[in-house]
Amino acid sequence: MRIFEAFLVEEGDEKIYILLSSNSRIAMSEEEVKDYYGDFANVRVPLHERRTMVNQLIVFLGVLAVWAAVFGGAALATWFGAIDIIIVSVLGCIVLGLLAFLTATIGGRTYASTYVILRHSMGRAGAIIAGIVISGISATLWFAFETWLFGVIMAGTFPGVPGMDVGTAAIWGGILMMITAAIGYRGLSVLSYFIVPAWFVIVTLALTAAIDVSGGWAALLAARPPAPADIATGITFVVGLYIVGATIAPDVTRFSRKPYDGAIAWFIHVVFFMPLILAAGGFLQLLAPGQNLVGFMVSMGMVWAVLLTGVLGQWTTNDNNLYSASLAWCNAVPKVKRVIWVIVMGVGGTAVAALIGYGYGVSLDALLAFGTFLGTFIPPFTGVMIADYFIVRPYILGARDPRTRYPFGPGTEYAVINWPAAVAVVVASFLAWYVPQLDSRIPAFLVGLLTSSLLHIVLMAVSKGAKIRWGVGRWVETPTGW
Amino acid sequence: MSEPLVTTLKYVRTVMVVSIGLAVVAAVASVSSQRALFAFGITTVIVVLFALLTVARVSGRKELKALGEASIQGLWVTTSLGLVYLTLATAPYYGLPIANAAVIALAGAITTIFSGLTLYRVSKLTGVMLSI
Repeated sequence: MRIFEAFLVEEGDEKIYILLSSNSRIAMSEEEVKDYYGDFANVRVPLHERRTMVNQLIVFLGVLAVWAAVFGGAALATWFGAIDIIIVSVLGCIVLGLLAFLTATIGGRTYASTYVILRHSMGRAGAIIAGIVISGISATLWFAFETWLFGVIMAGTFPGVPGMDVGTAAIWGGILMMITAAIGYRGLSVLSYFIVPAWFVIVTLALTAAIDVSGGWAALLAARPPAPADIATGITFVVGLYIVGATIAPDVTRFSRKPYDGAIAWFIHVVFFMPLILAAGGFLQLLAPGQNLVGFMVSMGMVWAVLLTGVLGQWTTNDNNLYSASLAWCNAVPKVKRVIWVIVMGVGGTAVAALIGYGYGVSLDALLAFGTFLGTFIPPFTGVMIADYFIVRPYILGARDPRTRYPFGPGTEYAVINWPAAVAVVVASFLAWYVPQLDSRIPAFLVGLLTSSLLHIVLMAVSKGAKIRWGVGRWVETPTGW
Repeated sequence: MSEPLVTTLKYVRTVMVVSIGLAVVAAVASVSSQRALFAFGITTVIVVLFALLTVARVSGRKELKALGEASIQGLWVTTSLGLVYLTLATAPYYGLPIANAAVIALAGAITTIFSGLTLYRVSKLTGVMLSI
């Protein structure tokens, strides 16, 4: 939908923005356009702030452009040879691309963040809890981890250089990441535009150089993994790597001009670029087990490139973690502005990373284990979000028009909790935690995603048919969008 | 055509021509090493393709905002790709003589700085934000 005109009219005491598109007319209240929390955390992104598809592609690529993702790809080399790494990476990324095409489309249609979108499917209190689980805590933990990892990379690349020990590098790195997250989407975009094209070219060139010095392509193709596994295991591993990113895609795609801009950007970045990163990690692990691309680059004298890709790459990813966390907390706690949450969560995460870096803690393993544990509960929310928007609302509740399917703005009424969604998430989360313990080949995210979506659809259909009220309580959105 | 439109077009075309020229200089400076020629040759091809794409996107634009968007996106790419030359040229792996490495790094630095400054100018001229 291309909006070609917007104007303000007064209807009684209300001021309404009328947006005209080629095929529709949408009314948006003036209050809805007000942005108390900052960066449109709890309100729709207004027309003049919406960005191009290229912009969203670059921001998504900025999330992907991080050494941790390359290290993640190295795990594939345990199970697969070079050709199979490419096959499972591409297939897994296609699954991710299709899955997040749906969540990203919801963002592009509603112009709202993930946590605000969840108000309709989960209920207002449900969306608060969902937001805290999905990003409020998880993303902050990942922020702490990646800030610490930033310190480790800096210390490894520049040993003995003042300010480059793990703890100190974590502090200045954490502060840098907080700056762009505090600025908001503009900050994320500008930094991503600056580094993303260079990052991908440098990593590709470094990969070919590392293969060259490690025996070449012939050696790579001849290398065999230590513990071969089936393709399905690899695909589920790849999907699991980025399932949280797929869930929170609306945090970026809400800035779309056209409904599918963000979804297309997501698809392109994950299908055409993520396999490259996974292959970069996997190939080197096959050729030189135990070594990583950063080590190769340093040994080949590409120190400035490591500094650039390490500092700015980690920065473009980790500021997104903090950004999403701040959006989730704005949805959960009233009256505290987004920038305050960035500072609070950023200082907390940086302090943890620095303390570990200075040796005041053994490691981040306990925090990461907690983050991974929480990660088990995220796909069930994804399942409910997708099922609610694409099936429950149009086909069970009759809200066929995608533009009006999820109304937002002052005065909008939500249930406090939607019990079918809550039951679906609780049951699916339990199964996602329990079933893989019975058979480790069954991926937790798949159990969580499928169970919650199916259960939500069935329970909503039964409630509608039996005339059982599915929304418990009543919550009216305030003028600030809370 | 309005003056900002003409000025923006002129700025962007100039930067793209300069970027292509510097990229070719970098590629030529890397011929003494096969590894360097491979790396910087590929980078040059990418710079040339994106510069030509940008020129094609901005040519014929009649609306200032649309011109600004296409220009800023193209300028970001050249700004960023200049960093590839700048950071990799001196790597011992490529085995370049110091003078050649300096030429490549300088080409990258000029590309990044010139594109970056033009970004700022185009944003001011067209009113299009840098984060478009």
